[in-house]
Amino acid sequence: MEIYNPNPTVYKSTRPTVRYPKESSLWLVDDLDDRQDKDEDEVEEIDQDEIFDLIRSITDPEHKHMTLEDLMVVTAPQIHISPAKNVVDIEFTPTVPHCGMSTLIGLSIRVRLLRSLPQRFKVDIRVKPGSHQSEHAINKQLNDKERVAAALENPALLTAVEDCLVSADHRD
Amino acid sequence: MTTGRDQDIEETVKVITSGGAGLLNVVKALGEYLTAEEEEMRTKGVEFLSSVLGRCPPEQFNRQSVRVLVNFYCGKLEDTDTLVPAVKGILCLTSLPTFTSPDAVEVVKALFSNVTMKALVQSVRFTVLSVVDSLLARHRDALKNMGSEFVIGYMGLAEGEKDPRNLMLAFAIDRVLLIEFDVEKFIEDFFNITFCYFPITFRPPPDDPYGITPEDLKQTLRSCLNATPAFGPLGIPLFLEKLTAGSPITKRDTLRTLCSCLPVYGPAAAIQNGRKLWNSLRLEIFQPTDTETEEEALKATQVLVRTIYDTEEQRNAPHQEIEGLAKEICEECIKILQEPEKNQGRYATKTLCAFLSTTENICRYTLSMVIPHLTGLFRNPDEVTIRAAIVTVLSEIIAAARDVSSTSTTQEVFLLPYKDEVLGVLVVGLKNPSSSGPAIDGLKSMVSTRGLLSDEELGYIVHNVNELLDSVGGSADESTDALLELLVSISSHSPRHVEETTLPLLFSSLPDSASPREADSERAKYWRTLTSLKKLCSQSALFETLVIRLSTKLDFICEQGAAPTTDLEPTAAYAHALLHTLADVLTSKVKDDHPDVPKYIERLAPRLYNLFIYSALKSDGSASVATDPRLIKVAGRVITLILQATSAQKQEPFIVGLYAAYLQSEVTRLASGAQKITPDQLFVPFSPGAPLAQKNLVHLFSTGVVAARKEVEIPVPNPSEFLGTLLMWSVHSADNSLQRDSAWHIIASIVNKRPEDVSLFLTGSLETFWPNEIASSNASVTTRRFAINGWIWLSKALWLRGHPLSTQYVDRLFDLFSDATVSWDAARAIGMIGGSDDILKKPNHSVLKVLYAQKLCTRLLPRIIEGAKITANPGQQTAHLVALASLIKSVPQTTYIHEISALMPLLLRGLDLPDFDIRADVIDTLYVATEGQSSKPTIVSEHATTLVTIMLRNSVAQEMPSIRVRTAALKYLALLPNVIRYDILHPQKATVLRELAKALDDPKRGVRKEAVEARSNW
Amino acid sequence: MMDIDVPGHIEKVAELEGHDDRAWCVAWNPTKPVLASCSADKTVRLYHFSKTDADTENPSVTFVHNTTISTGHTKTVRSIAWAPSGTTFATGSFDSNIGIWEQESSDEDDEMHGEGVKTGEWECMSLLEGHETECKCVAYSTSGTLLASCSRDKTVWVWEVHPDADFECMGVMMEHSQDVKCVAWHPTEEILASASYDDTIKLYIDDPSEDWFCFTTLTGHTSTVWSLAFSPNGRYLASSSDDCTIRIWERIEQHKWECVKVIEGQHERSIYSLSWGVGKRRGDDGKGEFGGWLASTGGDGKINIYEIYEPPSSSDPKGREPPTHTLIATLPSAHGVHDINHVSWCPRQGYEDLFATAGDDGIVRVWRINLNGQ
Repeated sequence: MEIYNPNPTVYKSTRPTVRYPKESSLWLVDDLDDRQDKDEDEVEEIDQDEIFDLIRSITDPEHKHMTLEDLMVVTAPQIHISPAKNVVDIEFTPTVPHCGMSTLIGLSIRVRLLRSLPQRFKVDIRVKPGSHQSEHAINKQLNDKERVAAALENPALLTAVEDCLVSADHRD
Repeated sequence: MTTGRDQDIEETVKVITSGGAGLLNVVKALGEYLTAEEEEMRTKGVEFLSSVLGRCPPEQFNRQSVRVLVNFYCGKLEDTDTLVPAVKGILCLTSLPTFTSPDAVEVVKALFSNVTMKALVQSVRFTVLSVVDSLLARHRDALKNMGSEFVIGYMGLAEGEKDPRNLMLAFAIDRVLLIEFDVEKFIEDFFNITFCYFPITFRPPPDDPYGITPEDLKQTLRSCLNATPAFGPLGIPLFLEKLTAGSPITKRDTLRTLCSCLPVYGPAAAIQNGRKLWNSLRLEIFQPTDTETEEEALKATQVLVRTIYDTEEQRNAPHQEIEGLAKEICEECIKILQEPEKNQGRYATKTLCAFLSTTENICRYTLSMVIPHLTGLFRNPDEVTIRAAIVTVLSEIIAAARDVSSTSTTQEVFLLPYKDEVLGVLVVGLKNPSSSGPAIDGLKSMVSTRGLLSDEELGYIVHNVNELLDSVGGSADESTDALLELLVSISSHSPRHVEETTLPLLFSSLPDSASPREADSERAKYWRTLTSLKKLCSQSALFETLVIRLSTKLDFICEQGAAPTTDLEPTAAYAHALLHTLADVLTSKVKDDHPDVPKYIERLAPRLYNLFIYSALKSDGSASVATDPRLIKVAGRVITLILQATSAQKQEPFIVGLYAAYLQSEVTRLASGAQKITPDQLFVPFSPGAPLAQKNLVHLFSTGVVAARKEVEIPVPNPSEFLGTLLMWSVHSADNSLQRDSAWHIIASIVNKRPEDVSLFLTGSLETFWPNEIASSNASVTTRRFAINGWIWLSKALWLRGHPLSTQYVDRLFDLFSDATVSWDAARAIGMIGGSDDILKKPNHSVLKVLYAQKLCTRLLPRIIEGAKITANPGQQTAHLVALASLIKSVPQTTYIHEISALMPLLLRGLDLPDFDIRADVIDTLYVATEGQSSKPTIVSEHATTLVTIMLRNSVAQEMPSIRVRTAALKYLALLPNVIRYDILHPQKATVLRELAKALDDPKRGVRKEAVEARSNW
Repeated sequence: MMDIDVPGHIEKVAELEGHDDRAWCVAWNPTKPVLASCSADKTVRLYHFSKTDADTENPSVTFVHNTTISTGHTKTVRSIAWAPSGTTFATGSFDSNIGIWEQESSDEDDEMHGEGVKTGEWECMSLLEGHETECKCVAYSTSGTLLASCSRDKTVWVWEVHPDADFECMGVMMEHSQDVKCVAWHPTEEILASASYDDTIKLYIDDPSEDWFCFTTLTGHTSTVWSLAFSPNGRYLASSSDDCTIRIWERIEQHKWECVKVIEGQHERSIYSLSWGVGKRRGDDGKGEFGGWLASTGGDGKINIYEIYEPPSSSDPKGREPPTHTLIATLPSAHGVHDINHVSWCPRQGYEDLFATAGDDGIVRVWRINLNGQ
């Protein structure tokens, strides 16, 4: 297999930020037992961080012992949601502009979200503008549902994707 | 079982031992057989003889008989039909004292000339090798003197052996020969008959009876391969080849073997092959297939370096003069560290760290190379952004250096020469958000390096950390936590600096009065400050300051009496937060049993009691936050924690004071502090019509009692009467659950620790309390429910210590199953008795019999299962189901797993119970059970389809309001595919995925996470 | 449902569940009351329909599931098309093959279903191999003598239909630079159109002397062209694209087509499918020649129906006006949150206001346009 980037830059993984008690609450630690019921009907919208948490642990197809987060291929700020339209926009950054794995990475992200996001969300996936030499081609492929559907019926490709996704559920 | 022949043998042996017949006569007697024409006869004959010898005690063999037998057997070796039994016979002889070296020589010669191993079965080959082994053990010199003849002969026997059992033996022999015999000219041949087995690929058959593991073989083989330096020139190339070719397993085996061999093969060989070796090791380190191999490779590198450099002249050489491989590798790594932010940098760092723990010289040398490089790079980097990476590397090096120093015999502090520049870099790195994380790690490592930093330098670090804490205003992120950890580790060496500079800083940021409701940011600020204090102040000196400052602050803000109209909530919350901080620190201190905790029974407890009693007694209408139950609760936690750590003899006076205060209104011995309690204010929480505020304080009574040690006496004239009244009070006079629970906790812990003092109460409760307060249906439902709860605590206290009365108490509950009004409460009670709670537990010095939960289960389960089957009375049946659910969830699964097939259908029915908590419990139970069954999941498989359907029904928000149930159901669904065969689940796959898709849109983040996991597992 | 000021609305007539996976395509039988659908679950499902109270003003139509055919295709069945005869249909699959299906005549072919609907088993009479990768669309010419297919292998094939499900390849057109998403036949002449991932549309005819060849390429779309639909009279060709626009091309000369209209802002995501039906004329309001109803749908889950009026055709290029379009009905989230992959008007007499859609939810829905708002 061709090596596209033998020595990628590694970044410090940022653990998801600690959630303090709700600003509205007065109590540092709430001993009240009814707390849970209070929150029963409060809706926690799906946000940037949650979606990032879904994809950050996907294995990089070229560096099997590193995740997309380690290599900053995906970051929380590169994820945008418009809850009103139910559209999720995901931008990822290949480690090198000639990385032949980019389509596979994008496909893995798509499949992961296909399986783990509510169906109401339409997902658009693109590489970071200017981060890849064949940016347009990759984006077009990743967002052509027919091509994606066909790709997932291709055993070889599907295995490759599954390989990247085994680590996806290790999220802490 | 014994065959006819066995008896004959026994007989003969008897005759011989009884001196009836000499061994030789037996031989004579057998003569015709031993020399018979028919092979079978001969075989049988020799067979028989050998068996007899095998069972004869050694003293029966005099020198002469041995002589004859040796001769005889050696002769029989030439005869293929008697060879096999002959070898057996010989093996018996070799171990005899009367068996001499000449015999040994004769035997081996005979073996060499007659035995062709290939023709023999494993067991016989084994015997042959055993003979050699036995001779080698007893007549080594004789065999040595045989010289080449023996060596060649043996190699003939050992060659081509395949069976692991025999190999274990052969390898052992090989080692002896290689070490002790003169094998120089045969080294090639030995190489061939040993290295040919490397790497061991043997897989033991399932349930292999000889229990020889591949690891055993590998170890024994290694002991041959590293037996002689002479193998070096031949061995190393072979290892190199295996390294490049092999699978990860082979690689690891090779690396481990290399580690065991190189030191033996010696510097010369190591130097000669050094570069080649490093080239393949580098590959494993810099493009690791897996971490395990990577680590082995690093170890091997260390061994290689040690082998080369851990020699006399090297040791004496000053480190500047390190030449050759180590130098090259070092330089190579440092070159890579020109780009420390890159992936390869990681591995270079690992390599260098590995270097530090090779030889002290190398360690000094490596540091002298890498530290200046890094500090230099830090001072003028190509881009500032890589500084973070530099600091990261530096920190790892520091940590490694520390570990070396701590193990070094000379106690040398290798980092000392570079202390200043490193400290400089780290402090700069500390200031920059991107690099502060690793910088903190580095500083921690420096702090924890013995003899590295001076007290002033510690002060310097603290000073810088303070500035940082101040600037971020303690905005709670990871770095703050890390900073605090750093301070903690510093204060464990010298608390002074933190105490003098950091704490004042933090305390000063605590407001003197609570910020109003809407002032979220200020509130957040004091939360963070308290969190910081909590992390910082468990060291004794610091904790003392903390206690003084916080309790003073507490008194102060509680004192601010206010008109009843004003909003006390923020103040209460603030006070609560203060107490909570104390409680949290205490918790960790008690856990690590710090010796300074007990003294707070005098320093802190009285102040708290004073504050709360005073506030409860306050007669002027002004409301005080210290009457807020939530504050009382957390104060109670503090008190219990202190008592947990206190000795009986220190508890004694406190307990006396406690009772005096609550029962005789003598508060002076218990409470003392800022607020003045005037004598005219009577503290009478138990008296009829006592105000709510006082009655709530019964909680602080219980929290004082529950952690009392069993040696401490109950300072009341008639304990039984006391408990009796208290129990009635809990049912009839108490206003709220806080008061009721408190009363029950007191009763429970006394009954559990000193039942003998309250035997009357125990019998009395059975005779009067049960019938009047619980069984009788003219009592109101509410009081009956309370009474049942009281009963649970009683039964539990007794059951935990295995008190004779406990069974009576527990069984009573079943009488209520038929009583519709309270059957559910009774059923739930069953589980609560088995379950753990926060009162009756070891830390509180409760008396706990081992396996009490199991015992409860064994006693009740059959009865419950039976009851749950009776369909006659649905009410009763449900009650039994509820009991089952609540019991099972409170006991370890080992206690019921054997019943699982009987339980499964019941549990499934339990999932239809309307009560969500019970449902969730049942699901959790099923989870544990299913997980436990993963080895043989038959029972689960039978019900798989039903389970899936039920769980789906419980996992979607639209149909199941309870978050807990949804989460549990999804967790369970996620588990199934790992436990149940695919083909069983497949039919439902489509449906499951469709349903789970809905769960993905759950309003709750936590539930969604489970849904995601479940769906990807399916 | 949001209220846009349009004269008509779209009423659901039937909801046909049953596919285990995304439904890709629906096809109305041209001669019998039969609707077919295909899906990623590799099956084809057939439904019968009939008017219940035929004589009333708005007779209601009911659908009955008739049979489910496991096609034997090893991958998604992407496309399905009936031959004009109504006795044969073709399936195009991601396994790159094309299946030709006929119904074996069974003895109890009663008249019960009326209109000679048979009950025999459907059999794959022949399997057309030739495409190298996923086949994405199949289409029969109006005469029924030709079958066209296209694939990700960038080619368009034309097959001649011989008796007994025998097929002969008449031409392989390698014109597109990327995979070909859709092929469509002109309603009256043997003109073939293809749409591609390369953003272009190409038109082909058969040169009697030569082979099939591309006589023009229509460019203008800025992204993948997903779908094509000729107007019933053959004067116009409509195309829809990932660029969220619909373009209408007019035949201005024998072999010359030109974009005369771009419909924008009606869809927020890819427009996957178009269908141009004869429609029902609403009163006479002198807008010119009634051009039928154009339906569009796609990734935004919305269905739009446009009423088309044609200007009088004039020979002189200057005087030519574009056709007018009016949005007469629209329906958001017609398949809930899911994409809609295909829309198709019922071609049968008396059902002009009926159309069907196929969605990612695996469901096929049948709809009717209601103009006088009952």
